Amino acid sequence: MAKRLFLAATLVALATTAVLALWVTPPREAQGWDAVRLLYLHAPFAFLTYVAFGVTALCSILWLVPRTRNATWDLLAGASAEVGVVFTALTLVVGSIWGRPTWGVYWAWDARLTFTAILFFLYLGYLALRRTGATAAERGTRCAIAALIAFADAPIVHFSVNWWQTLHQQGTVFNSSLDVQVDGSMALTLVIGVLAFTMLYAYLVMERFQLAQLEEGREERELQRAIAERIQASEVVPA
Amino acid sequence: MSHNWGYVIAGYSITAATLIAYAVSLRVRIRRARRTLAEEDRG
Repeated sequence: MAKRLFLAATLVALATTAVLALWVTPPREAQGWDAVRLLYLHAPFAFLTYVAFGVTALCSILWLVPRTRNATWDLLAGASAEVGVVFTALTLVVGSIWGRPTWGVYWAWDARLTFTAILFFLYLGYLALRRTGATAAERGTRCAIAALIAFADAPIVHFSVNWWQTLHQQGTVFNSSLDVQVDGSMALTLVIGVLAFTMLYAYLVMERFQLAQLEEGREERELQRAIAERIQASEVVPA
Repeated sequence: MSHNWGYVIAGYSITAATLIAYAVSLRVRIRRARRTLAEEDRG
């Protein structure tokens, strides 16, 4: 029931974002006229990419530390990574669509774009690693180490616009001088958008975590059944 | 005069389609997993 209420609140927040982004905020010539409305998707997705992979990294550390090791951290790390991959893909796709009217191209081998694409493929590899056969403990440790290695790319993505000359603009909010480059209805829409998509991220992680728990339970049962069958077969004495 | 509304429509449509498809696929897989476990419980 609480989850349904949370989903309803998320949908209301998303609808509010869409109304503000498409009808209330003004177009801007320097950012592709009305194409600037893609900012209210692109910026929250980029923010959630950091959040999702940050949660995966944190859960991976909690798994690796023997005192805090718990299957929950491994499953939560996997759930957050999968949702993070979806948001990273959307960051790249929506950013490319916005790039065409503002830069004249869908894609450029710019530092920000390239390192974001690398981040996407690193976490795709992480998700593939989660599917490899091993015991839950072996898989957990292997994936936790891979997640921490992959997360090293996140600060490179964030600071790439400061470290190199890039086609991509500097951070609108989290720039080097912490000078917020957006105000009025645009700022309000951006704040509501970040909140709405963060709620959606939380909902999707809850769903993916629940699915991971069910799959884990099923795997455990299959293993128990296989062991029981093996014991039964060994007890049958040939005549 | 169009001020790049085509790009806006494309971006919002792809986003909506992707997120709805992902959320629905999770729900379907959860239901399927629950049903399988329940069937196994019944024997």
